[in-house]
Amino acid sequence: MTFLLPAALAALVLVGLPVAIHLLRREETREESFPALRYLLSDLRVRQRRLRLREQILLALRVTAVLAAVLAAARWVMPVGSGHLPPADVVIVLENGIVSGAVVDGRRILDDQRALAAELLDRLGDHDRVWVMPTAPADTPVFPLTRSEAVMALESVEPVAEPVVETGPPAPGPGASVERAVERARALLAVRPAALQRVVVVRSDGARIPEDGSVPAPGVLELDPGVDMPENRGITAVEVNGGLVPRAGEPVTVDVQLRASPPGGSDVAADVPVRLVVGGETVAAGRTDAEGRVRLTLAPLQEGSISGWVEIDPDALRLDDRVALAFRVVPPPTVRVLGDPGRWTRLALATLDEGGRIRMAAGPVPPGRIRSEIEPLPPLPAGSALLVTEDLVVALPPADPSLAAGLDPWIEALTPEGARGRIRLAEPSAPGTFLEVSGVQGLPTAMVGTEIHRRYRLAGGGPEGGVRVLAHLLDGTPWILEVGPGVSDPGDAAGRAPDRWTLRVLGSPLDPAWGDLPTSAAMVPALERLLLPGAGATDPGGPASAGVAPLPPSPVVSAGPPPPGWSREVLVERRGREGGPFLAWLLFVILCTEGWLAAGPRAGNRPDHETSTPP
Amino acid sequence: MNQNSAPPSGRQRRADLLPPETLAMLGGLEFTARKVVEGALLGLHASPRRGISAEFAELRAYRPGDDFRLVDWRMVGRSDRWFVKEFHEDTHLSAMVLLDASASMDWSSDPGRLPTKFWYGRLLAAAFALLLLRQGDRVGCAAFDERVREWLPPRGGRGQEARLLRRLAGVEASGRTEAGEPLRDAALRLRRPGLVILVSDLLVDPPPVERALRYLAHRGHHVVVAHLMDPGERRLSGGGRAILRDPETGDRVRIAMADAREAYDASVEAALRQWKSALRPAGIEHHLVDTSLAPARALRALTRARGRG
Repeated sequence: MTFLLPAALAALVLVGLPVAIHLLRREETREESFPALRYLLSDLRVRQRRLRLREQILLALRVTAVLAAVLAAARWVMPVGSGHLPPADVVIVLENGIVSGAVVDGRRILDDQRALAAELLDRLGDHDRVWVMPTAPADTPVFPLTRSEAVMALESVEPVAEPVVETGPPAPGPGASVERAVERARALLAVRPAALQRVVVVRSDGARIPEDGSVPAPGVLELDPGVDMPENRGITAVEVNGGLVPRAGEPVTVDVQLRASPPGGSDVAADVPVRLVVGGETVAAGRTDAEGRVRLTLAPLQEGSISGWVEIDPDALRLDDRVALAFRVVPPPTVRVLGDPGRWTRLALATLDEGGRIRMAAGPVPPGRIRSEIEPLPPLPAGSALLVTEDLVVALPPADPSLAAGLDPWIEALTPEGARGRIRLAEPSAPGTFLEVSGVQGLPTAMVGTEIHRRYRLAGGGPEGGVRVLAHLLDGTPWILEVGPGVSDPGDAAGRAPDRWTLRVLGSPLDPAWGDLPTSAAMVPALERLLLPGAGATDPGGPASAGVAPLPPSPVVSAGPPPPGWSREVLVERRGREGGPFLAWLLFVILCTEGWLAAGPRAGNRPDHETSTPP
Repeated sequence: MNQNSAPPSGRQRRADLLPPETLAMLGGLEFTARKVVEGALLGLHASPRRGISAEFAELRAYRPGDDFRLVDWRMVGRSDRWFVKEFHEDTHLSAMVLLDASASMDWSSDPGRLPTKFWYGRLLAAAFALLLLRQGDRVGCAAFDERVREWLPPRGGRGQEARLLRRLAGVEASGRTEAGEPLRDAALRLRRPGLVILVSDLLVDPPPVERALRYLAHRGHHVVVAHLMDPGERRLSGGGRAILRDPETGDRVRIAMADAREAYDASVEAALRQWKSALRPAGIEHHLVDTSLAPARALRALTRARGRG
């Protein structure tokens, strides 16, 4: 049942009034001796049945009268069915992000969301069409469903933790997934002919719903289950080896950052035991400091892939209590420099060589396909360079834009066989913006925020062409492109065949005139990562896939009854109309009938008092 | 104004004319009954011929041997034919008063003012018995409910007065009414035809009682039924709802008085008509006795019945 003013239902206690009066009056009826009862017996049965029936009808009428008055006060919406209404299209956007998995009072928030959505489904008619659209994964296919099918679809939705690292476009902020889903839903409804179309967003976090009851967008209804979530702590960031590539035979550090919600509850994140589990065994453990940080140190590792997870004791929101990580322990690559990489690059390479992170090699490229590809080419343009390892080529463009075209043949020749995409340097663009690599797996977070003053336009095929963006600027302009056999050509299992390599092209020379990266602290780790073939991969087999975890949305949910009045009315017209006039008419009929029955058809004007004593 | 509640005036010094509630204050059954009888006797006219029967029956032709004193000389003078006068034999009456002592009799619609039907019936039975005894008749009494509880065979004399009053005073109302069987029992015990007075509220199953009364009449008894009825039984009064309980059966009925009144009154009238119509063909007198009225009226009706018994 639907009520526009549910608070008035508290008056339902008044229903007990006529019942109490009925029972009290029953008790007041006295028992009297009457020997001449036999004279009543002939008429007794019928009369007794009639009397009992009349009293029951009177009681029912009085209860109904009170009920009708309360329903009218609560603005009851009378169900009239939807058979005469044209079909409606409703998209239920279910926010099934990390917060929806929180367990509060032994019940997941998602279960409350489902119940709320099911309540909305109850208001729909049999001819209406429903789409159940979870917000994660973002592109989950949706189909038009009936009400019963939609209920089953709701049951199949589960909480989905947002990925630790994302590639591609800028990572969405909190709630962006809902906005994307709403846009998708509206686009879906735009091509539908139904007269009534609604997008119903069932939030897991009611804090983002406008408190003033304003409608966020025409035809969009936002609801939240109104769960008051307790304090929460979760792992917000995991960084392996301080951003450096783990090397065989060296200790590996894992930095873990915890954060408490709501903000300010840092005590919740302090002194929390954190464990690093690899292969089902706890290989490192520690407790967080006052800032919620802890560094776990692993003993020197052999070369190979390491996968496991970092975890804390589970609390209400369990999806952020365990973060998976995977990294590869690799030997230092042998690097050869062709051309002139510039002063800052040489210094960084020397630093890495000195630290044993790489091995610098002199002389020509060893015989192989790379060598066979580059031998026929003209010399490299001045100011440009190639950093060549066993299975990787990093191309640094020249500082002089007029020479940039000279690098294109090299890029074209070094594009691995089997890769369909092509990368090409174009004219330098206007002063650039800050570098953005958040969500990019495998590159050091210290690169984030580095300002790029100038950059070439990197033109190449999209993801379908095998070209991937490893780093981009805030405006979305790609800054590091990669094409390699691992994308369009699976190659062998290890991807390390001598004849296979990956080509990476930077959008700017590593020169302070073109950007701040060469002079920043991120230069050395960034260069190290660029010289590793797995950097930027989304699979756990990358050199270090653990990284920045996005901050989960605030789990603070607005308290109190969640939906303001407008939200209840959005779907009301599907199932009924307000029953005020009907209730008024019903009340009038009840009162008339009750008066007629209470007076009795033959009682006349005799007082209806309790006595059987004859005068 | 209800005459029952009126105080006795100077003209109402006859006890049989006192309202029942006043009589009830006079004392025990013996005293009250004697007062009522004395009052009733004051109301009777003295008979000019006492001791013998003088009721003419018929004329018949003279037969040799007839007493000459019985010859109707006037008829001889008129018709020159000899006729002798014949008279009814004048014998002492044998009367039996049957008092219903069931639980239904022990009820009054106004217990504070109006006596119960049983009190009234017992007074009526005692007064009538004393009246007959003082006229030289033989009177007995019996009390019954489902069976005959007390049985005093008809006798005459002053000793019978005391016995009868003592027996009646000792009877209490209780039990269920099954008048049919006790009446048959009485019919078998009463060998000599006489007057049978049934004092009862007749809250019984009518067919067996009707059959038993007809059987009594068939046995040669003159049967008179004093049907006691409380005014609260005659008409259902009051309002509201009540649970009515039958003191004999324990049945309970929950009714609204206003709703049941009309049907009840009709049912009572129909029952009374039924009794009269069922008893009249058998020569049984049915007298409705309102227990709120002075006993004189009922006593007169019974006295008239004695003349026919």
